[in-house]
Amino acid sequence: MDNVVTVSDLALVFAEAIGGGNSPNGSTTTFDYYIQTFIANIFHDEAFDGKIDFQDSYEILAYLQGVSSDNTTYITYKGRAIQSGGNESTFGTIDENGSYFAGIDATFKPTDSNKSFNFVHALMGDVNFSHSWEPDTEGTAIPTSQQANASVARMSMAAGSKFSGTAEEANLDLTSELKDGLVEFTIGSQVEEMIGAQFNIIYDRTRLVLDNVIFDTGNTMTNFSNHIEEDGKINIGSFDQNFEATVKTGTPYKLIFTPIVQLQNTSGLITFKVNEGVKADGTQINFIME
Amino acid sequence: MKKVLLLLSVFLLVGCMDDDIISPIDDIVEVPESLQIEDVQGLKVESTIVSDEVRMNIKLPYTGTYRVKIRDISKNLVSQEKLDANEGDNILKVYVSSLENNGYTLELTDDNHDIIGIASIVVNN
Repeated sequence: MDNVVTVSDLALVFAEAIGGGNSPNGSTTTFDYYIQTFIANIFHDEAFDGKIDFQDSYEILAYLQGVSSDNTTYITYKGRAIQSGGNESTFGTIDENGSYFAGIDATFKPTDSNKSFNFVHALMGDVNFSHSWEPDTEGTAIPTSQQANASVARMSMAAGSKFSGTAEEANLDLTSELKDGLVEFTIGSQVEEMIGAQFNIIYDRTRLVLDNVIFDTGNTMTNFSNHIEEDGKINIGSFDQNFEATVKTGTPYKLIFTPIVQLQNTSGLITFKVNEGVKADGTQINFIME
Repeated sequence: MKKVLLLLSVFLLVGCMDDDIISPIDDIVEVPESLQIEDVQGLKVESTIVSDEVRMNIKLPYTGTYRVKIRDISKNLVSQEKLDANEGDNILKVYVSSLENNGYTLELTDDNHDIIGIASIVVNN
Protein backbone atom coordinates (compact mmCIF):
# COMPACT_ATOMS: atom_id res chain seq x y z
CA MET A 1 0.00 0.00 0.00
CA ASP A 2 2.98 2.32 0.41
CA ASN A 3 3.46 2.11 -3.36
CA VAL A 4 -0.03 3.27 -4.33
CA VAL A 5 0.42 7.05 -4.23
CA THR A 6 3.57 8.18 -6.00
CA VAL A 7 5.12 11.11 -7.82
CA SER A 8 3.09 10.29 -10.95
CA ASP A 9 -0.14 10.84 -9.03
CA LEU A 10 1.31 14.04 -7.61
CA ALA A 11 2.05 15.32 -11.12
CA LEU A 12 -1.52 14.66 -12.26
CA VAL A 13 -3.03 16.42 -9.23
CA PHE A 14 -0.68 19.41 -9.58
CA ALA A 15 -1.59 19.70 -13.25
CA GLU A 16 -5.27 19.62 -12.45
CA ALA A 17 -4.84 22.20 -9.70
CA ILE A 18 -2.95 24.49 -12.07
CA GLY A 19 -4.99 24.08 -15.15
CA GLY A 20 -8.34 22.42 -14.58
CA GLY A 21 -9.62 22.32 -11.06
CA ASN A 22 -13.24 22.17 -12.02
CA SER A 23 -16.11 20.07 -10.86
CA PRO A 24 -17.06 17.04 -12.94
CA ASN A 25 -19.36 19.02 -15.19
CA GLY A 26 -17.14 22.08 -15.14
CA SER A 27 -15.67 23.74 -18.19
CA THR A 28 -12.22 22.17 -18.31
CA THR A 29 -10.17 19.47 -16.67
CA THR A 30 -6.90 17.67 -17.34
CA PHE A 31 -8.34 14.34 -16.26
CA ASP A 32 -9.57 11.57 -18.55
CA TYR A 33 -12.24 10.15 -16.26
CA TYR A 34 -14.82 11.62 -13.90
CA ILE A 35 -13.72 9.31 -11.11
CA GLN A 36 -10.22 10.86 -11.10
CA THR A 37 -11.65 13.98 -9.49
CA PHE A 38 -13.07 11.81 -6.74
CA ILE A 39 -9.78 9.94 -6.25
CA ALA A 40 -7.66 13.11 -6.37
CA ASN A 41 -9.81 14.96 -3.87
CA ILE A 42 -7.76 13.81 -0.91
CA PHE A 43 -8.34 16.99 1.11
CA HIS A 44 -11.92 18.02 1.69
CA ASP A 45 -12.62 21.67 2.45
CA GLU A 46 -16.09 20.47 3.26
CA ALA A 47 -17.78 17.11 2.89
CA PHE A 48 -16.54 15.91 -0.49
CA ASP A 49 -16.22 19.24 -2.30
CA GLY A 50 -15.07 17.83 -5.63
CA LYS A 51 -12.53 20.65 -5.99
CA ILE A 52 -8.98 19.76 -6.95
CA ASP A 53 -6.75 22.58 -5.81
CA PHE A 54 -3.24 23.14 -4.49
CA GLN A 55 -4.29 21.93 -1.07
CA ASP A 56 -4.77 18.44 -2.55
CA SER A 57 -1.43 18.51 -4.36
CA TYR A 58 0.54 19.87 -1.40
CA GLU A 59 -0.97 17.24 0.88
CA ILE A 60 0.30 14.54 -1.49
CA LEU A 61 3.71 16.22 -1.70
CA ALA A 62 3.83 16.35 2.12
CA TYR A 63 2.94 12.66 2.26
CA LEU A 64 5.74 11.77 -0.17
CA GLN A 65 8.15 13.87 1.89
CA GLY A 66 7.12 12.05 5.06
CA VAL A 67 5.82 15.27 6.59
CA SER A 68 2.89 14.76 8.94
CA SER A 69 -0.12 16.89 8.09
CA ASP A 70 -2.53 18.22 10.68
CA ASN A 71 -5.28 17.97 8.11
CA THR A 72 -7.42 14.93 7.59
CA THR A 73 -6.58 13.56 4.19
CA TYR A 74 -7.73 10.60 2.20
CA ILE A 75 -4.41 9.20 1.04
CA THR A 76 -3.97 5.46 0.80
CA TYR A 77 -0.89 3.98 2.42
CA LYS A 78 0.16 0.91 4.41
CA GLY A 79 -2.40 0.16 7.07
CA ARG A 80 -4.82 2.71 5.62
CA ALA A 81 -6.43 1.56 2.41
CA ILE A 82 -9.13 4.07 1.61
CA GLN A 83 -11.08 2.67 -1.22
CA SER A 84 -14.36 2.95 -2.97
CA GLY A 85 -15.92 0.27 -5.06
CA GLY A 86 -19.06 -0.82 -6.79
CA ASN A 87 -20.61 -2.47 -9.78
CA GLU A 88 -18.43 -2.23 -12.86
CA SER A 89 -21.43 -1.22 -14.94
CA THR A 90 -21.96 2.04 -13.02
CA PHE A 91 -18.77 2.73 -11.09
CA GLY A 92 -17.14 5.94 -12.27
CA THR A 93 -20.22 7.41 -13.90
CA ILE A 94 -21.93 10.60 -12.74
CA ASP A 95 -25.57 11.58 -12.53
CA GLU A 96 -27.20 14.69 -14.03
CA ASN A 97 -26.01 16.76 -11.06
CA GLY A 98 -22.42 15.68 -11.55
CA SER A 99 -22.42 13.46 -8.47
CA TYR A 100 -20.13 10.43 -8.38
CA PHE A 101 -22.03 8.75 -5.62
CA ALA A 102 -24.83 7.55 -7.85
CA GLY A 103 -22.31 5.35 -9.65
CA ILE A 104 -20.83 3.93 -6.46
CA ASP A 105 -23.40 1.24 -6.02
CA ALA A 106 -22.55 -2.16 -4.65
CA THR A 107 -26.04 -3.62 -4.63
CA PHE A 108 -26.93 -6.35 -7.10
CA LYS A 109 -29.89 -8.55 -7.80
CA PRO A 110 -29.28 -11.95 -9.34
CA THR A 111 -31.91 -13.17 -11.74
CA ASP A 112 -32.36 -16.41 -13.63
CA SER A 113 -30.63 -14.91 -16.64
CA ASN A 114 -28.01 -12.83 -14.82
CA LYS A 115 -26.03 -14.43 -12.06
CA SER A 116 -22.63 -12.91 -12.68
CA PHE A 117 -21.56 -9.45 -11.49
CA ASN A 118 -18.25 -7.65 -11.73
CA PHE A 119 -17.10 -5.40 -8.94
CA VAL A 120 -14.33 -2.85 -9.23
CA HIS A 121 -12.51 -0.52 -6.88
CA ALA A 122 -10.39 2.61 -6.67
CA LEU A 123 -7.93 3.66 -3.99
CA MET A 124 -7.92 7.28 -2.86
CA GLY A 125 -4.92 9.19 -4.17
CA ASP A 126 -4.26 6.64 -6.91
CA VAL A 127 -5.09 9.12 -9.65
CA ASN A 128 -3.14 7.24 -12.33
CA PHE A 129 -4.93 3.93 -11.58
CA SER A 130 -1.68 2.08 -10.87
CA HIS A 131 -3.45 0.00 -8.22
CA SER A 132 -7.07 0.74 -9.12
CA TRP A 133 -9.50 -0.18 -11.83
CA GLU A 134 -9.17 2.08 -14.84
CA PRO A 135 -12.66 2.80 -16.16
CA ASP A 136 -13.55 1.40 -19.54
CA THR A 137 -17.33 1.47 -19.46
CA GLU A 138 -19.77 3.88 -21.02
CA GLY A 139 -20.26 7.20 -19.25
CA THR A 140 -16.98 7.13 -17.32
CA ALA A 141 -14.73 9.10 -19.69
CA ILE A 142 -14.74 12.88 -19.78
CA PRO A 143 -15.48 14.17 -23.29
CA THR A 144 -12.43 15.62 -25.02
CA SER A 145 -14.26 18.94 -25.35
CA GLN A 146 -14.12 19.30 -21.57
CA GLN A 147 -10.43 18.54 -21.31
CA ALA A 148 -8.07 21.46 -20.95
CA ASN A 149 -5.48 22.14 -23.61
CA ALA A 150 -2.10 23.59 -22.80
CA SER A 151 -2.82 27.16 -23.86
CA VAL A 152 -6.09 27.40 -21.98
CA ALA A 153 -4.81 25.79 -18.85
CA ARG A 154 -1.44 27.60 -18.76
CA MET A 155 0.43 24.44 -18.08
CA SER A 156 2.22 21.78 -20.00
CA MET A 157 0.47 18.63 -18.83
CA ALA A 158 -1.10 17.03 -21.83
CA ALA A 159 -4.83 16.73 -21.65
CA GLY A 160 -5.82 13.17 -21.09
CA SER A 161 -2.59 12.02 -19.46
CA LYS A 162 -3.03 8.81 -17.58
CA PHE A 163 -1.15 5.86 -16.25
CA SER A 164 -1.39 3.27 -18.97
CA GLY A 165 -0.83 3.37 -22.66
CA THR A 166 1.48 6.35 -22.79
CA ALA A 167 4.33 5.22 -20.58
CA GLU A 168 7.85 5.55 -21.91
CA GLU A 169 10.75 3.36 -20.95
CA ALA A 170 14.24 4.47 -19.96
CA ASN A 171 17.37 2.85 -18.60
CA LEU A 172 18.70 3.42 -15.12
CA ASP A 173 21.58 1.94 -13.15
CA LEU A 174 20.83 1.18 -9.50
CA THR A 175 23.72 -0.46 -7.65
CA SER A 176 24.99 -1.07 -4.15
CA GLU A 177 28.70 -1.20 -3.48
CA LEU A 178 31.02 -1.62 -0.52
CA LYS A 179 33.35 1.41 -0.43
CA ASP A 180 35.79 2.29 2.32
CA GLY A 181 33.80 0.31 4.86
CA LEU A 182 30.49 1.96 3.94
CA VAL A 183 27.70 0.72 1.71
CA GLU A 184 26.86 3.14 -1.09
CA PHE A 185 23.64 2.83 -3.06
CA THR A 186 23.69 4.95 -6.20
CA ILE A 187 21.02 5.73 -8.76
CA GLY A 188 22.61 6.57 -12.09
CA SER A 189 20.37 8.20 -14.67
CA GLN A 190 20.79 9.43 -18.21
CA VAL A 191 17.07 10.16 -18.50
CA GLU A 192 16.34 13.67 -19.73
CA GLU A 193 13.19 15.81 -19.53
CA MET A 194 12.10 14.20 -16.27
CA ILE A 195 10.28 16.67 -14.00
CA GLY A 196 9.60 14.09 -11.31
CA ALA A 197 11.06 10.79 -10.12
CA GLN A 198 10.51 8.41 -7.24
CA PHE A 199 12.32 5.36 -5.89
CA ASN A 200 11.02 3.22 -3.03
CA ILE A 201 13.95 1.43 -1.47
CA ILE A 202 14.05 -1.28 1.18
CA TYR A 203 17.22 -2.06 3.10
CA ASP A 204 18.27 -4.73 5.58
CA ARG A 205 17.97 -2.81 8.83
CA THR A 206 19.51 -5.68 10.80
CA ARG A 207 22.78 -5.06 9.01
CA LEU A 208 22.68 -1.43 7.82
CA VAL A 209 22.02 2.00 9.29
CA LEU A 210 21.13 4.84 6.94
CA ASP A 211 23.65 7.64 7.35
CA ASN A 212 22.99 10.08 4.56
CA VAL A 213 20.95 10.85 1.47
CA ILE A 214 22.79 12.88 -1.15
CA PHE A 215 20.79 14.66 -3.84
CA ASP A 216 22.41 16.02 -6.98
CA THR A 217 19.24 16.67 -8.95
CA GLY A 218 19.76 20.30 -9.91
CA ASN A 219 19.25 23.55 -8.06
CA THR A 220 15.53 24.06 -8.54
CA MET A 221 14.09 20.62 -7.93
CA THR A 222 12.04 19.91 -4.81
CA ASN A 223 13.59 16.75 -3.38
CA PHE A 224 11.93 14.45 -0.91
CA SER A 225 12.96 11.54 1.24
CA ASN A 226 10.66 9.67 3.55
CA HIS A 227 12.57 7.33 5.86
CA ILE A 228 10.44 4.73 7.65
CA GLU A 229 13.18 3.39 9.90
CA GLU A 230 11.17 0.68 11.67
CA ASP A 231 10.40 -0.92 8.29
CA GLY A 232 13.83 -0.32 6.75
CA LYS A 233 12.23 1.71 3.95
CA ILE A 234 13.18 4.94 2.32
CA ASN A 235 11.27 6.66 -0.46
CA ILE A 236 13.29 9.29 -2.30
CA GLY A 237 12.57 11.45 -5.29
CA SER A 238 12.14 14.88 -6.79
CA PHE A 239 9.41 16.97 -8.33
CA ASP A 240 9.25 20.38 -9.97
CA GLN A 241 5.82 21.82 -9.36
CA ASN A 242 6.33 24.37 -12.14
CA PHE A 243 6.77 21.53 -14.65
CA GLU A 244 9.93 23.25 -15.96
CA ALA A 245 13.10 22.03 -14.21
CA THR A 246 14.27 18.51 -14.90
CA VAL A 247 16.18 15.99 -12.81
CA LYS A 248 19.90 16.27 -13.55
CA THR A 249 21.47 13.31 -15.28
CA GLY A 250 24.50 11.51 -13.78
CA THR A 251 24.06 10.33 -10.19
CA PRO A 252 21.10 12.34 -8.91
CA TYR A 253 20.60 10.17 -5.82
CA LYS A 254 23.02 8.44 -3.48
CA LEU A 255 22.34 6.72 -0.15
CA ILE A 256 25.13 6.03 2.34
CA PHE A 257 24.76 3.25 4.90
CA THR A 258 27.00 2.16 7.76
CA PRO A 259 27.19 -1.60 8.27
CA ILE A 260 26.52 -2.76 11.82
CA VAL A 261 27.93 -6.21 11.09
CA GLN A 262 31.05 -7.23 9.21
CA LEU A 263 30.34 -7.39 5.47
CA GLN A 264 32.33 -8.74 2.58
CA ASN A 265 29.79 -7.76 -0.05
CA THR A 266 26.31 -6.24 -0.36
CA SER A 267 24.18 -8.57 -2.51
CA GLY A 268 20.51 -8.37 -1.49
CA LEU A 269 21.04 -5.83 1.28
CA ILE A 270 19.23 -3.11 -0.67
CA THR A 271 16.20 -3.78 -2.87
CA PHE A 272 14.01 -1.46 -4.89
CA LYS A 273 10.33 -1.57 -5.75
CA VAL A 274 8.77 1.57 -7.16
CA ASN A 275 10.94 3.25 -9.72
CA GLU A 276 9.12 5.75 -11.84
CA GLY A 277 9.45 9.12 -13.42
CA VAL A 278 7.18 11.61 -15.08
CA LYS A 279 7.73 14.07 -17.90
CA ALA A 280 6.31 17.58 -18.19
CA ASP A 281 3.53 16.42 -20.51
CA GLY A 282 2.40 13.86 -17.96
CA THR A 283 3.94 10.87 -19.67
CA GLN A 284 4.96 8.30 -17.11
CA ILE A 285 8.46 6.90 -17.49
CA ASN A 286 8.82 3.26 -16.57
CA PHE A 287 12.43 2.66 -15.72
CA ILE A 288 14.13 -0.44 -17.05
CA MET A 289 17.07 -1.88 -15.22
CA GLU A 290 19.35 -4.21 -17.14
CA MET B 1 76.93 -24.80 19.95
CA LYS B 2 77.19 -24.87 16.16
CA LYS B 3 73.78 -26.55 15.99
CA VAL B 4 72.24 -23.84 18.19
CA LEU B 5 73.72 -21.08 16.00
CA LEU B 6 72.48 -22.80 12.84
CA LEU B 7 68.98 -23.11 14.26
CA LEU B 8 69.05 -19.44 15.34
CA SER B 9 70.15 -18.41 11.83
CA VAL B 10 67.24 -20.30 10.29
CA PHE B 11 64.78 -18.58 12.63
CA LEU B 12 66.30 -15.16 11.83
CA LEU B 13 66.16 -15.88 8.08
CA VAL B 14 62.50 -16.84 8.22
CA GLY B 15 61.73 -13.84 10.44
CA CYS B 16 63.27 -11.43 7.91
CA MET B 17 61.40 -12.79 4.88
CA ASP B 18 59.26 -10.28 3.01
CA ASP B 19 55.52 -10.62 3.81
CA ASP B 20 54.74 -10.43 0.09
CA ILE B 21 56.33 -13.80 -0.42
CA ILE B 22 53.87 -15.33 2.02
CA SER B 23 50.77 -13.43 0.89
CA PRO B 24 49.87 -15.54 -2.18
CA ILE B 25 49.22 -18.42 0.21
CA ASP B 26 46.66 -16.19 1.99
CA ASP B 27 44.87 -15.53 -1.32
CA ILE B 28 44.09 -19.17 -1.86
CA VAL B 29 40.38 -19.51 -1.22
CA GLU B 30 39.23 -22.64 0.48
CA VAL B 31 36.11 -23.65 -1.40
CA PRO B 32 33.66 -25.91 0.42
CA GLU B 33 32.55 -28.91 -1.59
CA SER B 34 29.01 -27.54 -1.81
CA LEU B 35 30.29 -24.43 -3.60
CA GLN B 36 32.84 -25.95 -5.95
CA ILE B 37 32.45 -25.05 -9.62
CA GLU B 38 34.11 -27.27 -12.22
CA ASP B 39 33.97 -24.76 -15.06
CA VAL B 40 36.39 -21.88 -15.32
CA GLN B 41 33.62 -19.46 -14.42
CA GLY B 42 30.14 -19.52 -12.90
CA LEU B 43 27.87 -18.89 -9.95
CA LYS B 44 26.78 -21.35 -7.29
CA VAL B 45 24.77 -20.96 -4.08
CA GLU B 46 25.12 -23.24 -1.09
CA SER B 47 21.39 -23.80 -0.69
CA THR B 48 18.34 -23.14 -2.83
CA ILE B 49 15.93 -22.52 0.04
CA VAL B 50 17.23 -19.47 1.85
CA SER B 51 16.37 -17.59 4.98
CA ASP B 52 18.38 -14.56 6.11
CA GLU B 53 21.55 -15.30 4.13
CA VAL B 54 23.32 -17.87 2.00
CA ARG B 55 26.88 -18.32 0.83
CA MET B 56 27.66 -18.18 -2.86
CA ASN B 57 30.71 -18.76 -4.99
CA ILE B 58 31.37 -16.51 -7.93
CA LYS B 59 34.13 -18.02 -10.04
CA LEU B 60 35.62 -15.46 -12.38
CA PRO B 61 37.75 -15.65 -15.52
CA TYR B 62 39.80 -12.60 -14.57
CA THR B 63 40.15 -9.98 -11.86
CA GLY B 64 37.81 -7.05 -12.45
CA THR B 65 34.47 -5.39 -11.83
CA TYR B 66 31.36 -7.58 -11.83
CA ARG B 67 27.68 -7.36 -10.93
CA VAL B 68 25.46 -9.70 -8.92
CA LYS B 69 21.82 -9.14 -9.84
CA ILE B 70 18.67 -10.44 -8.18
CA ARG B 71 15.56 -10.75 -10.34
CA ASP B 72 12.04 -11.64 -9.25
CA ILE B 73 9.88 -14.23 -10.99
CA SER B 74 8.80 -11.62 -13.55
CA LYS B 75 12.48 -11.05 -14.40
CA ASN B 76 12.38 -7.55 -12.91
CA LEU B 77 15.63 -6.44 -11.33
CA VAL B 78 15.05 -5.94 -7.60
CA SER B 79 18.63 -5.69 -6.32
CA GLN B 80 22.07 -5.25 -7.78
CA GLU B 81 25.57 -5.23 -6.36
CA LYS B 82 28.66 -3.97 -8.13
CA LEU B 83 31.92 -5.39 -6.84
CA ASP B 84 35.58 -5.82 -7.61
CA ALA B 85 36.61 -9.46 -7.38
CA ASN B 86 39.59 -11.66 -8.09
CA GLU B 87 40.14 -14.26 -10.76
CA GLY B 88 39.00 -17.68 -9.59
CA ASP B 89 36.76 -18.51 -6.66
CA ASN B 90 35.25 -15.77 -4.49
CA ILE B 91 33.12 -16.89 -1.56
CA LEU B 92 30.55 -14.21 -0.80
CA LYS B 93 27.05 -13.96 0.65
CA VAL B 94 23.56 -13.10 -0.52
CA TYR B 95 21.38 -11.44 2.11
CA VAL B 96 17.65 -12.00 1.73
CA SER B 97 16.04 -10.38 4.78
CA SER B 98 14.75 -7.45 2.75
CA LEU B 99 13.30 -9.70 0.03
CA GLU B 100 9.74 -10.95 0.11
CA ASN B 101 9.20 -14.71 0.28
CA ASN B 102 9.28 -15.83 -3.34
CA GLY B 103 11.47 -17.32 -6.02
CA TYR B 104 14.38 -15.29 -7.39
CA THR B 105 17.12 -15.64 -9.97
CA LEU B 106 20.70 -14.63 -9.20
CA GLU B 107 22.72 -13.44 -12.16
CA LEU B 108 26.45 -12.92 -12.25
CA THR B 109 27.47 -10.57 -15.06
CA ASP B 110 30.51 -8.59 -16.04
CA ASP B 111 30.31 -4.81 -15.92
CA ASN B 112 28.85 -4.81 -19.45
CA HIS B 113 25.91 -6.95 -18.28
CA ASP B 114 27.10 -10.07 -20.12
CA ILE B 115 25.95 -13.08 -18.11
CA ILE B 116 28.61 -15.36 -16.59
CA GLY B 117 26.45 -17.50 -14.34
CA ILE B 118 22.91 -18.00 -13.09
CA ALA B 119 21.40 -19.62 -9.99
CA SER B 120 17.95 -19.83 -8.45
CA ILE B 121 16.91 -19.31 -4.85
CA VAL B 122 13.64 -19.49 -2.97
CA VAL B 123 13.41 -17.01 -0.12
CA ASN B 124 11.68 -18.32 2.97
CA ASN B 125 12.28 -15.78 5.71
